[in-house]
Amino acid sequence: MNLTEPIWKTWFAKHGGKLLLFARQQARYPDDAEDLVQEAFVRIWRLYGHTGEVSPGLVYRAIRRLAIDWARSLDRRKIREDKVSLDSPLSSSFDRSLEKDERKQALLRAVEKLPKEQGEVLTLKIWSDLTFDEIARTLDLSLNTVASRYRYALQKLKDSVPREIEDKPQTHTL
Amino acid sequence: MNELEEIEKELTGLTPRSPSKDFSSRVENALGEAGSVAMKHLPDPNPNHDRSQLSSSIRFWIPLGIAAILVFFLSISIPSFLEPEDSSIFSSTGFAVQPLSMVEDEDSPLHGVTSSELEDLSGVPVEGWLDPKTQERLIRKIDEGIVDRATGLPARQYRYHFIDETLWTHPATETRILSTTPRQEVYLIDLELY
Repeated sequence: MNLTEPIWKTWFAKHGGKLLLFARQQARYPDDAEDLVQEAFVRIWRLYGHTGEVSPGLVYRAIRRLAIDWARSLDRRKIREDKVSLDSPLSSSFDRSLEKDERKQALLRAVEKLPKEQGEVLTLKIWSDLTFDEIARTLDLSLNTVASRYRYALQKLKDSVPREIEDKPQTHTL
Repeated sequence: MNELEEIEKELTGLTPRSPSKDFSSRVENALGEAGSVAMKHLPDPNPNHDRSQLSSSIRFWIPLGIAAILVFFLSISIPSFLEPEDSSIFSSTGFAVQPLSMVEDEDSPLHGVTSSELEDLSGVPVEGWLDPKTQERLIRKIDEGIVDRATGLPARQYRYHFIDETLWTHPATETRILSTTPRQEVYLIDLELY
């Protein structure tokens, strides 16, 4: 029996979660993340998908450029106003298993509080598995800038995680 | 391990959630036909069928393979028994082969063989050749799709297959030698991202 499956499904299952995480950082509103990923992925796959091999770096770059375009677009602002905005923490983008782990929760809260330029480098390096060279090309930065932002981000996390554990948000049960 | 590496390791241990089924089907709808252009073959869920076919074909081919190897070794070993021990100094015509000159001839295309020796041995004249005629023939052009340049920018890659032909003519002996050499060239055309 000869079974086939579209290659994009395997590709998307592998990279989709990482793309969403990056899009969440790039989007002005978290609700835009899925739309950004969909738009960027569909554009790139239509152009290059026939080869069956699409470099994830292309989609990350397309997400970033679209996010910049959308931030300027008036039409997009109208779409956003029509949507019900949900305030979701960064931990909602990760596996549910870490919900009970206080240290990991604190770590993600600290990541969320990083300056945007450090957070995006950290996300691409840690969760998207891009090299510093690929990150530099995706974000149009020099290699040195990328490497130093990554180091600053780790340093900041090291300092702020203990504070985050102390300032743990209170949960109220009714 | 320093503290920064520990933080790095902790972060790497967190796994981003996979896209939801709803979102994946949204993307599938948006992709349309572009989603089914590139397909991959999945492994057969019932591999026993193939395995039984494979084992029966192996049972058929193994004895044939052994027989072929035996015939090959026999064909090599039998003539060596029949040849005289000192046959290396005789050529196939029965005359003794003279050792080649060790004097270097700069006009000769072969190292250690003079032009006149080459002429005698090959039966092909060395002097009197016209200038060679060359031409390239395009055999096919292949669109190899999108590739990443070293700079990270996408480019479309085309591969051209050529045959280079060189014709040497020796009018006095009406001899012609045609040499054909395959050659490939790769062209990269830069593309805009969108």
